[in-house]
Amino acid sequence: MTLKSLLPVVFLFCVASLCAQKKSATFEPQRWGDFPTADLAMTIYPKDSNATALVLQDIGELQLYARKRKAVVQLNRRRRIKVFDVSAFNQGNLRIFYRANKEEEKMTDLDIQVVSPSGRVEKVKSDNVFTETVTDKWLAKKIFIPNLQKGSIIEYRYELRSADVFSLYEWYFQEEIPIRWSELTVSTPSDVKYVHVIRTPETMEVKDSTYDKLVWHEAEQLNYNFTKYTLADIPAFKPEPYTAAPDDYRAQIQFQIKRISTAFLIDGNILTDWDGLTLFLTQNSIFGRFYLDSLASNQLEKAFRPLLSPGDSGTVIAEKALRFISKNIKWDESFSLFPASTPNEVFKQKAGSSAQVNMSLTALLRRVGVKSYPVLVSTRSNGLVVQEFPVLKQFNSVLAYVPTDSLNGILLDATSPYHSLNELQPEHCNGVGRIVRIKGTKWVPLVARELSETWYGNLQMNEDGDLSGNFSLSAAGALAADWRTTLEHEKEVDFLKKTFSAQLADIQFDSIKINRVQELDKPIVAQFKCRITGAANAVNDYIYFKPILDFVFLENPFKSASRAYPVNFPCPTKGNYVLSLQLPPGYHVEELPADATISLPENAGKLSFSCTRHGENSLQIIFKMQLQKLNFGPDEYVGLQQFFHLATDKIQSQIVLKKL
Amino acid sequence: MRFLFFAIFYTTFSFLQAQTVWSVDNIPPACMTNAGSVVRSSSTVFHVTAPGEAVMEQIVTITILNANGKAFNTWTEMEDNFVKVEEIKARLFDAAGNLVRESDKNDIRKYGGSEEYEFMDIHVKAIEMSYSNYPYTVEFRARKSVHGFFRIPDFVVQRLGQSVQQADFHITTPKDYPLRWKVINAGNLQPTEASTQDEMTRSWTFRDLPAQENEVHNPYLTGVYASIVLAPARVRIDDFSGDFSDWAGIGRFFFQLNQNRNHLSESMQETIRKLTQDKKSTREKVEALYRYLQENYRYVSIQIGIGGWQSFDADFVGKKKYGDCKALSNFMVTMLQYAGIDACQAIIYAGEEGAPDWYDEAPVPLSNHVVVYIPSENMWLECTSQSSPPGYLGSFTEGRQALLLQRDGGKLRRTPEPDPARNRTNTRTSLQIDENGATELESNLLAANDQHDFYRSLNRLKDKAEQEKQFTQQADFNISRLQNLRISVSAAKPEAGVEYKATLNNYATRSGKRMFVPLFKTNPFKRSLPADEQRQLDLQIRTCYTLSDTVEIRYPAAYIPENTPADKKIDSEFGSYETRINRDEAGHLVAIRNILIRPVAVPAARYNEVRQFYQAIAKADAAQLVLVRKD
Repeated sequence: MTLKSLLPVVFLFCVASLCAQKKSATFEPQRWGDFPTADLAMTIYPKDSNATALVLQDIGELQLYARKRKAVVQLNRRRRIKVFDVSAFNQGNLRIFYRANKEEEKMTDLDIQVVSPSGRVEKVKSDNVFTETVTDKWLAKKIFIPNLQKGSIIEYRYELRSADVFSLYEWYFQEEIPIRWSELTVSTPSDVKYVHVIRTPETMEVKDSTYDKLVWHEAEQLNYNFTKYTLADIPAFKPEPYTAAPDDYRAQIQFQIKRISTAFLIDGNILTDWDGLTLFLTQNSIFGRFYLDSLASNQLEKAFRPLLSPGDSGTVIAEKALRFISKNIKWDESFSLFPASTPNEVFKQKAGSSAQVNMSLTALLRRVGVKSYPVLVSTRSNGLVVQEFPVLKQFNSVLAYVPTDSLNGILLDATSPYHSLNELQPEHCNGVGRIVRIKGTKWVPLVARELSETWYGNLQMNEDGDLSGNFSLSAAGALAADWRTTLEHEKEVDFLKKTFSAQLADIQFDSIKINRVQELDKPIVAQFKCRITGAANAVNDYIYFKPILDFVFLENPFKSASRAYPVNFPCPTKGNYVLSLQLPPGYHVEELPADATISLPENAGKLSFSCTRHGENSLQIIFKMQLQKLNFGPDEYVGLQQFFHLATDKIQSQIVLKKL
Repeated sequence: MRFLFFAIFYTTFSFLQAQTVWSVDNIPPACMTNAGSVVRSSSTVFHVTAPGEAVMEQIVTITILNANGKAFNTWTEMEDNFVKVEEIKARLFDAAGNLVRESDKNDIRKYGGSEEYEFMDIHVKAIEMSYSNYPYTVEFRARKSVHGFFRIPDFVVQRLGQSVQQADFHITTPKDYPLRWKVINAGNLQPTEASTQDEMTRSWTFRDLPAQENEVHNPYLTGVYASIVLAPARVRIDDFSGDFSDWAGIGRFFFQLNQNRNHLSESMQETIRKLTQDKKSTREKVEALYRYLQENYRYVSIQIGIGGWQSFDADFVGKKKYGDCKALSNFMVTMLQYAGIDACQAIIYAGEEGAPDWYDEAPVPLSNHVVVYIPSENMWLECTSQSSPPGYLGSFTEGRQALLLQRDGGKLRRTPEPDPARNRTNTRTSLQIDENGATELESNLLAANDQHDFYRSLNRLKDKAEQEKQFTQQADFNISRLQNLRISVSAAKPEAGVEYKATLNNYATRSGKRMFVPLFKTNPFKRSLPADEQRQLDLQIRTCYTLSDTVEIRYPAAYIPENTPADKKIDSEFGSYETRINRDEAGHLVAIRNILIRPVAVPAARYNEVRQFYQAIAKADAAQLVLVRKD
């Protein structure tokens, strides 16, 4: 088995400083308590002299075995950290999370020691170790390493045991500080099979080696498979802004069961493919039952039925149900995959997670005769989806789906009362989702609606540089839902102050009208009269004026000169700005900024700027920008930055008027 | 006739609805204005049975009108060694006041979870009652018992954006229990008193308080809404009793709580001797010991039981090499004592936003932090920072009361006031602009106090690339290429120097034959206040500073100025702004700017004066040099 064949996702990005390090490293991990003099004496990490701390080695042993015919997943981890500098003393504050329910997970055998640079080993006693209740479900061991010094080495080990045969433990090869050696050995009975997903930057390659061995277990000799995954000299992970899910880019490995053996009671292949996962989910008591069991949603149905009219088409019913659910069950702003209570209960609670809201919708549609299925989603901040294997753990949210004659059917997302059909909130727009449908499971694209904002202004300037006239702003896509939500509780004038004139100090609004607040499939429009004092700079017979009063952005958001990871935008974005400007009497145009049109390769984005005279004393300024592409790799970064640079340049450009 | 019937029907109908007590229809219109939530009814009883022993019961019903009031759909209680939550439950009503549901035990969520550097035996129990449609009403009932306390929670009548229909507060104590209080923002409201044979109950009642909108830069810590501060004079926690009649007594209590925790091992004493033996002045000794603390000890906060108030023994800190603010401060005081320098701990309320007022007539040690004070040097030490220079407090603890914990009792002493003259940045910049508007910038700056904090933290980054990245991110202009960034920080003083060169692609913008060059965009004036004709709350801005900048501008010979900004001078009690634009001997344009921004504390009526002052500066500061090509 070659590892490459199992690499469904390899990120094509390059960490520049690393290119020289791609050699196959071998390393003999040190035993517990065995500290080589070289490590004790080390004052900097030669491969990264900036590092203030270094993980010398991180060793994991992951085993699957049966105890009293119950599956046990056991992770034994030992980790060793070298601290070079005072500024890294926080490495002496360790935190290990585990589940509060002992049936689900046990944390044992915690053992910690700290070694001074002179080699004196000190056992870390229990008065430095605390158990914290993080939530009802999670505990944390907190360890504060005493007598930590510059040059100390911290070493600790522990054992975690869970019953999660399904996905074992994941392993990250990369952290905030560099790691010299990371190693995970997985041992499973030979007749149990797992699929795994490795994610690494292009410059790193996880090595593996595998062998079989007979192992005595509960008086039985079993054939076990051992696979060791290793990675050496892993640079520190540094997250960047405009990355949807930074963890996507940390080197890591994840597992999911493919075939289980008789030793674990269940036999046969369980999750070799998406059909298997679909079957598993539909039979699951807290997933399938939620939308398939009619008793779980009969009260919801009873409340909804009166809203239906004879002859309503499937689409009409879908729309009514979407309205009904999103108005009656408030999304509690959490994402989940398994809805912990039934649709009837959620309906009574009046609030629920993404799974509860959207699966209540699925259930309701099924009750009234519209075919509907859940869609598994990984939110943008949860990370990218692996499509090659049925990895359930990667999903963290659910949408509703109604098949139609068209290829993609209708997607429903009831997490906002302002969503129309096929409109998803930005977090849900993360590439693809998987429809849970027996004999019909497939990927469905989760496309974000274009976010667009337009400005139409008709303004008269006076000779002091003050402006007055009318403006009309409109928003579509996720921005429209935002506006609608904000307007529920904010005064129109306050809303405009924040939305339109954050950077205009002296502006007064009048005759404000907000249109189409409830027509969800249309842009929402704000119309108003305004007076802006000192909008232009009038000096000595000249008036200098920046005609772009507002836009999608006003500053270049991409300030860094280079980039290691891709830039992710949540949705396509469009801005249109049109201003008709009447000049002050007695002034003429002395100079106009140059027109410009710029495009990014492959229609990824374009912008245009023009400034035209209309008759003797009026001007029209048009500024348009469109960004279609959502993901820009590090190699495209400079181009993207340049695009925004030119856009801000045009936003800053000025018109010169002169008194006749 | 038909109309009449409808009118009657309608009235009857609404009358029937009004029977439901929590119907939104029963809220008086005056309580709806500016409100995100309305306290329909609230009753709080704090029952002191003996010093340090109490039971607190609350029944609070709040209508959530819109998203601005959403936070009030959650009730939160803290539980620790001293406080036990006996009951917490909730009911949810719809707009018409119909009961939707009651909470059950599954609704109570428990949170601990703190930062990596802390452990506390405190956890939170919370109930959140969400509902699909605004408005809705939630009723909470909570009861907790307190075993050991020296503070009674303030009676908070309302919050910003919240109106109150009715709120009652009662405190019942043994008759001889000495209690004082201070009513804030409710005039001279007196409690009604009722007594039984052994006990006395004091009650305050509030009715129909309109909501106050949240406005920027309000002095919320010193109270912008009605509340009652309660100051018990006899306290008890674990085996410690105290007389809290005055600050001296409060200080004595905390001093005693931490007494005999000042031991150090022989080897530690030897270290102190070595560190200080060749130092001549007290100041030098303090600095040496403070640096030793910073370089070897880290902030770790462990709060268990009385440990929330009592420091670890100095010896314990010496061995562990970690501690929280109390423990590190106590350790520092002990080191100083071994070196023959008198010093004490001081409790203080830390935070950039300032601190709540402390009242002599109702003294309550409202604090969250401990620092060290050295009387002979009039010097303060922040012991939780690994990088601050000795004696530097910064905006975190400057300009507020601290209570010195001394053997003969507590003494109030204010920390140094924020001073614009000390928070300063001086820059000297030269801009070389080419034909396309691209600009080569060379700059050096000196920053002190608040203004230097960022550069000190930047300087701590060992990774040069990361340093440059963060510098570029925070710059007020777009840097295309940064070169020779050099940061130096003073070990002794809160000062930093920065030198750098940079290429700025669109610093100057062009339109045809003209070029526009902003004068002060490398260090722009950034403060502004939103327009507000009906400001209600006092205005308070603590941040203050001085900027002195000299900008030399060189532009291509082919261009001549069309308009050069005129010199400006703006003066006000809130600060001043002055620019002078000259040519140097070489004929280059030199713009000089001095800005002084003082802290502001003025009544609401003067809001617009302050706003106009900032706006006048912003307008002057946007001044640009307009160049035009000669041909």
